[in-house]
Amino acid sequence: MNWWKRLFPDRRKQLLDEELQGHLRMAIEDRIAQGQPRDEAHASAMKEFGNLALVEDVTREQWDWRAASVDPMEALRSE
Amino acid sequence: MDGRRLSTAMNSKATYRNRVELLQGTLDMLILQSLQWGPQHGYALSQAIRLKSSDALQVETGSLYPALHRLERQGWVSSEWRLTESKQRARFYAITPAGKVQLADDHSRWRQMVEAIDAIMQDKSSEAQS
Repeated sequence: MNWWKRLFPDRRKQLLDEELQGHLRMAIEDRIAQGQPRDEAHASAMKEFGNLALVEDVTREQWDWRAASVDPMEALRSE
Repeated sequence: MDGRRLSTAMNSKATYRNRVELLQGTLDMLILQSLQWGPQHGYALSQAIRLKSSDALQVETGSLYPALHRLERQGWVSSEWRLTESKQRARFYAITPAGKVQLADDHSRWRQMVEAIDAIMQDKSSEAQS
């Protein structure tokens, strides 16, 4: 880890985590607003959300300009 | 979950990547189209796509956020942190002028693809021969 990263923890990663946590919080609140008990709302929102660490991981991969695009529409675009 | 719903649910990193790749083209178009109605955060976008498709499409987080971050890298959406109506901090995405051009292009190609597939599926002559 270089000195810059040691001094400034990756702000971008923190913001991604905040973004995803916010998504989860809104999903839970929506369910509670629709009448679900808090525990149930939390469990079903977590289930629908999936694995937070994996979502963060695959999202971070998109930050790299080298991220490969295997996209059926991309093939058409390049024609 | 409704069996008819087209879900992108995933449970491993490899599966995540595959789903992202498979859905990327159409998901980009759906996101850009949804942002035509105004800037939205990720959760609102997923709900908008679900509601507009009458519950047929459920875009899961493992597909949505990689797509949003990639679209931003490509310059087709921009983002800024703002407060929601319930005073929570959230990242709002907006379509850019380049994104609007891309959307028109994707939509046109999508129509061509649907017409081409439909022509094959509606091919009565080959049905009759078989």
